Amino acid sequence: MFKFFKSLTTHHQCVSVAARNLSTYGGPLLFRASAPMFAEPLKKKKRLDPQILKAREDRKRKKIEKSIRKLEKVAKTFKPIDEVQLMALLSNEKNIRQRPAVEHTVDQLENRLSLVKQWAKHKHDEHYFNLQVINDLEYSQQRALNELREVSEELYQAAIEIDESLLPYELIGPVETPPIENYESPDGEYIDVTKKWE
Amino acid sequence: MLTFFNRTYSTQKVKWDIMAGICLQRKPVITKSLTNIEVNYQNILQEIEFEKSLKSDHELRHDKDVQRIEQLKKGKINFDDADPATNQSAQDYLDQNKEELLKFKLSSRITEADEKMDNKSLNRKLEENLIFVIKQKLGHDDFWILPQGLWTNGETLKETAERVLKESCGNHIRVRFYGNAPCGFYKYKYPKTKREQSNVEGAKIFFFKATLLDGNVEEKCTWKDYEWATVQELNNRLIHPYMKSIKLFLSNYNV
Repeated sequence: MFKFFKSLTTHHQCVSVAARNLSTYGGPLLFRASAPMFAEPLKKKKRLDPQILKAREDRKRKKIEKSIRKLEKVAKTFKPIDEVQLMALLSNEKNIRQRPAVEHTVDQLENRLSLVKQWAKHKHDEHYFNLQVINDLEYSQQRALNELREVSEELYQAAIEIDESLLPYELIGPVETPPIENYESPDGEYIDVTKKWE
Repeated sequence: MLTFFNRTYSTQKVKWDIMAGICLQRKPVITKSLTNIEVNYQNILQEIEFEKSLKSDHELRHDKDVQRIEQLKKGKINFDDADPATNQSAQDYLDQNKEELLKFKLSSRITEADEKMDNKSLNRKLEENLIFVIKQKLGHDDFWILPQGLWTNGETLKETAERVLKESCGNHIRVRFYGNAPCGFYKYKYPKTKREQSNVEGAKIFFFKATLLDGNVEEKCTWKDYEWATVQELNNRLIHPYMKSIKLFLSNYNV
């Protein structure tokens, strides 16, 4: 308490003796300057006619309502699916487009039937072969990992880490005929025929 | 006495060399040729589909042409009546397109390398999976093997594999390894003299699969000969137990 008063008195001296070096900080009771705020008196709000305001709001609401109605209208009409919808023209021309019915001999039909059976067996065998291959791959890798673990735990831990460089994975698949060397494809015009539905 | 013997036996640690082997593959460029049954079944499916289908616009046009020619023969309509723009018949249109197709030369599925039986070319057997094998001297004899190299301390096995690849195939090659884990394993014992000399029992090889993306292998002095072999050819080249453990991780064997 005593200390506090002491500082107060010394500062009083300071103010009175050297009025030009006015220190605003130091003691808790001295006055402080606040940062300038560049304030200005508030502008007077313009008063609008309530009727005009109402009209404006109405216009806004109508606009939104209109767009909602538009959207609802669109929602009812579905995007046509060309592959599914039958063209009216086609159903009219069905009689013209019909092929003459083909009569098969019993031999032919039997031949077909036996081929279908052969095919089913072929696919079955293929499937089992694929399962076998997957099994072998798994077995081979697991055996390698087990052996590696026996050799060194450290190497094993490094081996089972995920290799993130593999993702995203891009594959350029096999094609029917090999690419022609030094082939320059002819220029063409690009026309976007994608239909737009709004 | 017996316990003493047991102890000495169990403390005698067997040392193995650790190696990384590389199964470098060139994946098929073209699709597999269809087998007999596949061709037959495809034909039948196409027949059935044709029978069930309706005539296309083009076929209708062709029918109309045929009718018109008949009428012309009978003299019911004159040639002059016909609109010159529609003079091109459907058959003409078809022929014209066929001609255009014939002009376009697709490259052959059988390449020059196939005809020359060049086993070193990457352009051979485009529909098969090719595997890079080398002929290397191990001990006193030459063996056909997949490239392999010793693991050195401080490396992970994948790093060893990458180093071995560079050592045996050169730098002008871009490959993709399939993950950090080895896909196969094989171990063999060294000959007795070497075992006694170096006190190393044999080698454990961990195989890593890689796909060739770009470039080609370079001739190196570490091996004598090389080949891009199909799995069937590998079967003839490699010794039996080695092939058996490699076959497990080659997904498309039919041997």
